[in-house]
Amino acid sequence: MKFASTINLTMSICAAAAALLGSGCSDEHMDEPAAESQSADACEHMVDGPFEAVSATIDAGEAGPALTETHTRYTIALSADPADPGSRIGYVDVVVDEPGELSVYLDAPVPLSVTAPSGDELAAEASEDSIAECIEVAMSHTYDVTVGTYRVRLGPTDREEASLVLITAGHGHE
Amino acid sequence: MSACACDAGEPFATVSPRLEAGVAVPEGRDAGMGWQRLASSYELRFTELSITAGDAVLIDTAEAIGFDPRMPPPGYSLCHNGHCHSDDGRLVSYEEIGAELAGGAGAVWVLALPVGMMDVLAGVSRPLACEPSCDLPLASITQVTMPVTRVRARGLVRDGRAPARIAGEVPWQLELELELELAGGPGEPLMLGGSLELAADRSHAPDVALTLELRPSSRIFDQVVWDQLELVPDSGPAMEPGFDLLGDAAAVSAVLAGLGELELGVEVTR
Repeated sequence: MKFASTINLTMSICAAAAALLGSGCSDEHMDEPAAESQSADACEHMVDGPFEAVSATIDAGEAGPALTETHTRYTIALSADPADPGSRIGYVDVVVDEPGELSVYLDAPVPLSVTAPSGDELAAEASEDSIAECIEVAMSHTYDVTVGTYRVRLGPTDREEASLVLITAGHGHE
Repeated sequence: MSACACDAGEPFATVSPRLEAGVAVPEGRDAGMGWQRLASSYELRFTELSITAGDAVLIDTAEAIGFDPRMPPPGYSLCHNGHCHSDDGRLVSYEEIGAELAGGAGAVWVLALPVGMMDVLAGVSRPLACEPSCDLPLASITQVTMPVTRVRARGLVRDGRAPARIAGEVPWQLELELELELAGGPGEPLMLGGSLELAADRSHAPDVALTLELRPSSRIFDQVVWDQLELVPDSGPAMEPGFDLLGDAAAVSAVLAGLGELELGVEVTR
């Protein structure tokens, strides 16, 4: 049985996340009070995990590693940009199975762009270069997404890796 | 049993079961003209979809399995649809977990509803028969399971992504006999499940309308990597090259994973 829509923000986020990326949200979220904001939620996971490490692809035409979990800190290894060996870039894929909002929380001010399945670059609905809830998150971007696979490019940057947490929310949230 | 002597011989409840099945179009997946978007950015259209199932079984779960699915036992989490996720990554049925736990009494099924073949694409709406009887004994039914034994599907797939990974609209087919390993199936039925609250006792109205709902969608195929499938000659209905998913173990595994996420909806009214 599907999770019912609730007024519990955390449960709604978890339910939407489980549906949106087709993957689980840790059970602990089911017991947490409703008042936790999405940013606070992102902070918690940026600090406490769970953790996954992936290597981004350097080839824009090649399938990248698929980020399928929300509420998980992904540490993404970047590679030297063939066009500019002094900087690093990388591509990963985010698979979305329900429409809604996708927020990307980054641990450092790494340039990020998102390409929709159509091939068009997706403009962020909102971006923040800091959040009040913690210093471990340096910036965030929120996008309206529909069903499909989105290509995320990180960089150019001089950092060897970047970490991010994905948080989702469904449209028509009560 | 606290039944009044004057109620002796009367069933505690009488069920009128029905089956409803049809292709769902989840929010955000309608690509028009019968096409549905996949999470992989492909688009898919069904030209045939039939699912064959065995008996749907209503189970007095609290007694049967020795634990409450809302409170998974140690080593398990996220219990739903008749199974729990084990810490080592397995999907384990309630019955197996009950057998592992001390005090598990084994399945106590109350009522079986033969289902058979469902032409899901055409849509199904029909009454179901009851085994042994639609009259229920004293029971607290909280779970229903239904074994899927066969899936037959055909359609077209195209890429919704630019640049396209496959050219044009490609026919595909899948004929999966789940009980037969030799036919590409896992060798056992796929068990779908759902939760319900059906008390058969003297505290509730005896006449119960029960509807089982199955609404598969393109989600089943979300994890299929279409551009890695081999084009098989003469596989389409017009004898044109297409994808035969049964010929690719990864595709079969992806479809089984998608089928495993299907929810068996249950509506109870009295």
